[in-house]
Amino acid sequence: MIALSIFLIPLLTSFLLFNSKTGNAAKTALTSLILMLLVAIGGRVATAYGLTGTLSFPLISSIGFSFSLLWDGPAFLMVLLTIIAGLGIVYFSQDKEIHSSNRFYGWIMMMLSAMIGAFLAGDALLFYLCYEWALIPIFFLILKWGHGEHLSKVTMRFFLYTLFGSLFMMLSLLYVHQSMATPSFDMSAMWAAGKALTAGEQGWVFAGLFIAFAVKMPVFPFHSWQPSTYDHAPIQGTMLLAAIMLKMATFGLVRWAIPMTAVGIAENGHWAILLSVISVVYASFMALTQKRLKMMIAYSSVAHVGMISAGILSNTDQGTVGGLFEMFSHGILAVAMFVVYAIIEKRYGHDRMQEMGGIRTAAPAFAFLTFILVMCNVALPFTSGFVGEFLLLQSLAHYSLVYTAIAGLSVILGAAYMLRGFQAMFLGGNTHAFEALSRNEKNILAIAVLLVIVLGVYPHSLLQLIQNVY
Amino acid sequence: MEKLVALIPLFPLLGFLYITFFGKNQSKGTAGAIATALVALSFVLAILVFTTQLHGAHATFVKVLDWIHVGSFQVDLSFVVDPLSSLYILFITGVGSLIHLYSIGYMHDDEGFHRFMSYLNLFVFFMLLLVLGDNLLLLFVGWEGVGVCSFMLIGFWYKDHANNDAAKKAFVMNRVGDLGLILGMSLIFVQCGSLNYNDLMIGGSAIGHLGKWATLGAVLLFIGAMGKSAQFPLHTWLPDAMAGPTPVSALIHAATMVTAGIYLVARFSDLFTISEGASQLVTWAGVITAVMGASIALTQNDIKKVLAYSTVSQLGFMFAALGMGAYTIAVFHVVTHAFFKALLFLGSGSVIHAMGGEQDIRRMGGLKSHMPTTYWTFLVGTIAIAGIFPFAGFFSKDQILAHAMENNTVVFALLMLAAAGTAFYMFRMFYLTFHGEFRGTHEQEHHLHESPKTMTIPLVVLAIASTVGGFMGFPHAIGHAMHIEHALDHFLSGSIELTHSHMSVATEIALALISMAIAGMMILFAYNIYIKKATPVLEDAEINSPLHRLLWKKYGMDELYDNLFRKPIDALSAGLYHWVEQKMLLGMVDGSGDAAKGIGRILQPLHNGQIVTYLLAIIVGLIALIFAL
Repeated sequence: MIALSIFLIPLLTSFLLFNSKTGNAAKTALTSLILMLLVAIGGRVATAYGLTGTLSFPLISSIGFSFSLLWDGPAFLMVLLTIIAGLGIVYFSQDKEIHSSNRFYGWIMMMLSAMIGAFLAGDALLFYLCYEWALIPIFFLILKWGHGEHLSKVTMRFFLYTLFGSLFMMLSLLYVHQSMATPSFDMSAMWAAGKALTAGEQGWVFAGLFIAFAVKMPVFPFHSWQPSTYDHAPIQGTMLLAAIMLKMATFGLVRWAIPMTAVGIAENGHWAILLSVISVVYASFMALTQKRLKMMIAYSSVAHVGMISAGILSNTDQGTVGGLFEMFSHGILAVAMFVVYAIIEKRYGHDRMQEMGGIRTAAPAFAFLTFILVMCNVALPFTSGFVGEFLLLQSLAHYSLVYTAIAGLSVILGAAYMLRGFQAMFLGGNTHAFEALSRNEKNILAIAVLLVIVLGVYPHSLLQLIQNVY
Repeated sequence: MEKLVALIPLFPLLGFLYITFFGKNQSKGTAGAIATALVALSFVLAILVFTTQLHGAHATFVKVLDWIHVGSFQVDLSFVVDPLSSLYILFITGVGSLIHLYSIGYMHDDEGFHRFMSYLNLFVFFMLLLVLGDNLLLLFVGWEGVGVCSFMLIGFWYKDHANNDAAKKAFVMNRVGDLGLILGMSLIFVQCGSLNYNDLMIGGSAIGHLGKWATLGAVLLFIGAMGKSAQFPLHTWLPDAMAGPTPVSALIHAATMVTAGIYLVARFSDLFTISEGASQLVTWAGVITAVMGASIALTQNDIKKVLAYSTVSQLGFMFAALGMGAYTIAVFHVVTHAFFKALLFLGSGSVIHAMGGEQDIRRMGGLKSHMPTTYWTFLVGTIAIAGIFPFAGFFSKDQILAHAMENNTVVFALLMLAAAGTAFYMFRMFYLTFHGEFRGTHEQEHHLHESPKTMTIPLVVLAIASTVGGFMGFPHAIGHAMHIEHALDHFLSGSIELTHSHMSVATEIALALISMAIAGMMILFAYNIYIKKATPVLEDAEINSPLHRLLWKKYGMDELYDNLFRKPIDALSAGLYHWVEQKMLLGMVDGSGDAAKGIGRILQPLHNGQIVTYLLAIIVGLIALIFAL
């Protein structure tokens, strides 16, 4: 029931928003998200005292499709991330002018619902449906509220690319499904059927899954839709994509790919790990040459995600747990970094870093908070970025020390581009009028920084939670 | 008593938090006093902890917090108290509190005073974590933490991009080393199953499980040490780091942070002992750095640059010692060096303060009469680093040389050369600064004054430490009769491999006399050139002799790295972005997109403009497909 209500609250909110003409849409969305947070945390506590959080009822029994939601540690973690990131996004937008705001927040809430569905899904088909369903809200968010001269082209490219990628996942899931005596999309049945396949078959099944996930994450060379989409999307859309949506893919690796095809990955999945590692370095190089802040953050995100993918695919405890932890950390960081971008862009009217300078003198508190976020981005110890990234590298080292060294280049390159950007924007002697941060802007950055540090200094509870499967 | 150790890093952390969040309402005096008092409090505790170890050396572990537990990966926020860490915390907090005190005077007129004191406190916190952590990961926390503080303090005057560039260079170059350390940690965990010193070395011997990977593991750790401790070829950031305020140079870039690499190698002496190859590498990196640093220092005219290259060179001595298995002697030199190099840097700060920001020794001269305390304390520091008996530097450096003589003649000869150079460049700087005629402007001459008490007291204390600090490590020859020979060695052997020496007393004394004679000759040589003949130092444009130019240009390493790494990497990124990212990948996608659009046009009648219909059709189609299967 807990899982179901967390899935339904945002969905109902979105219907409510679509059908109401007046009222404060942002407040409605915010209230709904706070309710979700309370239910989620209360539900987690209640589960500890024996309440059943999960739910399953058959929908189409002939193919073994059931509406089944899980409520284990990883699922809870991702739901928590969705809610927190959602709160951040809505809270940040609250004091901004947005046209047709009812529809805007309606799509956001629907998107959250779809993604929560994917995170909670205990049924492969349900996972797939939610995974695809999430595309509709984001498509409209980008198309109607985005900007830039190639908006429709970019939106179409994003939509078709990701839709096309997912088809491979469908094929893989169907292949596993049809291999069963009594076909079922239920998670444990799918896991068992996947494990029963030969290593060769598993390799192919994994390939299909990975291509779908690689497009969504994205991983080199399937990433080319991402920078322009991030760029054209409204900032809230970019946050949704970077903070939560791509996590459906990395979470898919943990929830579906690894349990079903671990042997296939170990024997025939070498290429996927290699691509992930290449992705880390390639994206770091891309970030290094960007002149614009938003693009730099976008590529830096690709680098982080490549690390998550490589670490998870190395298939050790540290990889899985570190991957999930890093998903959470990266989600918070992504929202915060794009908030930083939005703050600066609003005041300068552009985001070309080399044409700025001296923000620190005008806004020391903003500079201080941003610096900590930058440090989290370069995985400095005692920030959440370090815990995840170190565990992932550790996992990769079990697979190959050479790959670890290559992926580890991002340790150097990340510092280079992040500090270069920070220096250009915040340091130096220039002075440019810089309007003080609004209350919302200040609060959201402060909370993000607090989370990032608390999770970095004391990650223990969250790590235990992640390992608390079932 | 050891339980108190958890408080030692806590105090400076509290200082940082307090000044950052509540400091604005405090006067400079109060903020400075709080920052200094908290570090001094840690120093008092460090003395207590150290004394306990002195009365019975044993490793004690104090756990503070569960940290990262994932499967077999178990690492806590937990401290180790043993001879090595208790010695380190002693001089970090001791020298640290003096430099805090000094900063109150030195930074008094700076608008960023509060910020400065809070950063210094944060630095001390991370430095203490680095040496107190009972595992490699916590060491790494401190390691990166001091790196960030170093970044913030080098670029403290952030309005000038030259400072920011220096700060960024330091951070990024350190990260090259850090990658080595990360890989070393990874290798150690994969092979040995733990990152805790207790499992690896102190209580167990899991480090031995590295087996054939021992050399690689040691080399990777050493790469980390090279970055942090500015060893060739990762040394070029340290001289640039002098862009920071002088107390920073004294605390971070001379006395404490840059010796973290020595701590790391000493801590893993068990590993380096079993790896001959890695130890050879450490030795040679150290020797090359020692000679190179000293040779560059001969030609520099910026008072802080001379001291910076001197630090690079002295760190080289320490690594040479580590590589030859003289771990305890290297740590001994760390401690004496912390005293006299902090003294020299603070002295130079006092000079710069009096000169109104001037750092070029060609514009100084005759300062002796204007600032007597600075003069006398600086003289002590100069004698100490030159290695004259009985000042601190003599004992530690002489034992490194003695050890080199036993082990490797070439190493010995090169280190002797570097030591001779040290005596020369130090006295060259000393004479040019304090003796002769004043060569600055009239305005500067008018302004000359001795520094305030907050600055001179630390100088005097450090001068005393530089005078008697060497007595903790008497060599065999002198100490034997008094039964205090190698006191420090024996104490440290509770943590790290003891240095073995078979040198006879006669050889030891002969070596000491020879090295002092050479130093004496060098001092006379410098005296002859700069005082007796009063030879003017060449202006930058007049430096024509190729060798002089090469040294003055620091062997052109900065330009080399720029052409070898920075420019090609930037070009590679730009090239990849243009050709692969834009032309190839995006071109491919858009090509197929156009094809799709063509198909779309054919299917125009179905196209009612509603993407939702599309999607629903796709999903319904898929479900139908499933049924069909």
